[in-house]
Amino acid sequence: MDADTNDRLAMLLGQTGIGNHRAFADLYRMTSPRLFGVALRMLRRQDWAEEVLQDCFVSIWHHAADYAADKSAPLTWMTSIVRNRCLDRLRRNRPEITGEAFDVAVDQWEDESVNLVQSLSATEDAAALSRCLEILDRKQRQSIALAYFHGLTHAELASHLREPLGTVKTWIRRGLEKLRGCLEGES
Amino acid sequence: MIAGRYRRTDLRQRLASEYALGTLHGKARARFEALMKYDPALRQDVGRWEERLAPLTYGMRDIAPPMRVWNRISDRIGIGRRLQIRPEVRAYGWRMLAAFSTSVALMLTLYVGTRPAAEPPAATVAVLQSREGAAVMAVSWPPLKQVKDPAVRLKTVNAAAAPASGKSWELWVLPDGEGRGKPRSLGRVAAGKDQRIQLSALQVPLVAKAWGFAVSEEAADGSASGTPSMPFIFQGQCVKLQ
Repeated sequence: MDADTNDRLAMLLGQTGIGNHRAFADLYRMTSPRLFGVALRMLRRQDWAEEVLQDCFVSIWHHAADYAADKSAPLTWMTSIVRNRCLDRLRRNRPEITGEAFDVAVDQWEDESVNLVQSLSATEDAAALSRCLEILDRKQRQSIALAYFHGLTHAELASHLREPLGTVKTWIRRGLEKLRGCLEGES
Repeated sequence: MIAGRYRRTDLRQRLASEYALGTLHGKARARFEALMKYDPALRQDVGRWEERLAPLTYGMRDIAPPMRVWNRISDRIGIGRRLQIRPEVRAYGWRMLAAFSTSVALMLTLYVGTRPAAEPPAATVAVLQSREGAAVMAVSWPPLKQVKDPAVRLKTVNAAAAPASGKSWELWVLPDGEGRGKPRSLGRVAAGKDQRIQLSALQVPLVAKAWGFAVSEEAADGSASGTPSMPFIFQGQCVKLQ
């Protein structure tokens, strides 16, 4: 994310925190396409994605004053709100998805972890993450991507990858540890 | 307030990372959220993980939400609709995502404009992307029950893409449900050209229940076996617009 955009978003969030309607409208205009894309990808249903986006912006309106610029980038903060709301929504309606319909949907995701590495290079932090994802085992990378993009639980991942639950948990744990070690080395 | 086992650094790190990734769920997630409220350091660990993983969203497509979402938000927080956000197609400002914005602009075009008068607007769209994530073409169709001669429209996004010499492109529908989603051919498609593909009575229910579309590269006269040559060169999932 470039510094100008970050500064502008942080300023808009600050203004939103003190009840500035115009700033909130600008914030919505600048960030809603990204956040809607994130929600659509996780939920795969337009009606749910619209509902989640709506709830999140109402929540951002009420909690913008809690945003702390020194702790995270504005868009990261907002994305986390959306991701968490999507996870709640998914797990409310889909306590556990397994079986045929799930396999079909998931076939398309197989190669995502490969594309992932290719598509990440636009910014410095993206390039670092991309380099670090490459040193993970394929299975580790794949499980992390599936969990992040589609909100799969350990059990759903195990069912999809046809591996024991314990194995999948270990891939995720080791993958994340390796990722942290690598990213800390990069910075 | 903080349970003893959560003091262990490695466990804290692990839970923070899995929370940010989304794999912590159910009671464990709720318990972790409660702990974060009383443990700012834990909240910071999560924040760092969210930052680490954030670039994963950079490659995602930006998709402008319909205006009704903004209308509902402004109604709910009571700021009135007089503060209309400008409804311009290119309202987003992420320069680095220029490549992805093609598909967004395209979806908006399908959604709000350029519809042939005789046909209801497209209700579903699948933006087909290359393996590198670049949008190449989009398949869209109106509610199939509302039209006399059902067809899908194929719109080119990247006119430069073309099949290898002596090869052709074949379009496949990826149906949901019965038949375990076995791809069914909709015939060969021309590269770099917008086209309309008529659907037979047998194809209509497949398209109506499709979860995605894909294009394979085949010999010049198409797939002889009735199954696509894998891997697909482009594919995309269906998104309902209405």
